[in-house]
Amino acid sequence: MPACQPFFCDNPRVYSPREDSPIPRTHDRGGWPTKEPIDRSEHQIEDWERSTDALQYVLVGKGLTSTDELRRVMEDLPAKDYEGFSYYERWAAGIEALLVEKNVLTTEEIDGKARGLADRWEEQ
Amino acid sequence: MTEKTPHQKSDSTGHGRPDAEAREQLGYFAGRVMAMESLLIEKGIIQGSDVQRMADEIDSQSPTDGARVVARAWVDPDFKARLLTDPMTAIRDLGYELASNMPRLEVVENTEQVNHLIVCTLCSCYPRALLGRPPQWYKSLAYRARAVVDPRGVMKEFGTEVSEEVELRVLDSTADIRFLVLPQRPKGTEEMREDDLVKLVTRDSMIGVTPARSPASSAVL
Repeated sequence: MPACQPFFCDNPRVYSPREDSPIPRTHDRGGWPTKEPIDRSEHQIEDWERSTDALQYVLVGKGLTSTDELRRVMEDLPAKDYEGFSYYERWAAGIEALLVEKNVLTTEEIDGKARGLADRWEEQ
Repeated sequence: MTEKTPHQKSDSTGHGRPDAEAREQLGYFAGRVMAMESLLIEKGIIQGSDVQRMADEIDSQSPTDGARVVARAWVDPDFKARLLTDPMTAIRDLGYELASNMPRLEVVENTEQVNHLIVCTLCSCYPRALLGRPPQWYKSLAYRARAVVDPRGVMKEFGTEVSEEVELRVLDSTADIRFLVLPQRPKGTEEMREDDLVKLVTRDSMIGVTPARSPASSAVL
């Protein structure tokens, strides 16, 4: 059995029965063993990424979310998604998780609205 | 630093650029964000122009803001002293509007003896008020992983050779505290005016991965 702080052992949300540590730490990249070179190419921000970026700051300004909260929900993403999503895809998923968690919006509402927007998008 | 153990199974090389499946999801996430924005507007939680206005405001922040602060510190020792001890007040005195709820900002000085390097290992916290949105590489898993254990190797990839004599200090940013590097004033700039010095201060030099430009190289650019 791994050494485990009682809080983590007792909390099914954070306890991950891996042999080396009690907490999933996909996000905690400092010192992560990799020799991957750093891709220094500049990225031109896309329109939807720019909106996602701004939406988060609008929500923070309204007191609806905080930087720490956004980080927390992104850290809750499954490892596969955390590593597979692009930067602003993680933000978008995180903002949605927070707004649903806080009962500001429901998943069903977002589903419906997104479907409607996609249909109109295709008509154009 | 404490040893950190990866949880990723053996395929930890799988991250990097989005694969085909992830690219298809771009439309998916763009739709989710548009949907959330319109619902928030319909419910009166945000105004119709809020997101656009915020995006414009964020667009207006750029490394030129930080460069002006650095150039002033190079020419004005009193300002520099204040910048290092009470950066928020010093920067406001220069005419910048810093939000009252902005995370704490620390300015750290690079010298012949010490080179600071900024990273956010947990995500992407960055002194946006002075540098704008962080560059893609700053947010990359590779930079976040390597900056704290192999800063010399990382800097080498940016073309910066740091002598073993120089102490490297890596600063890990958080949601509550951000760092800005005050790079060394390049040699041969003693006669330059503040406005021209601004052009030598690059974004990357304020993150600490490269020195400020030398006047010779900037003449080419």
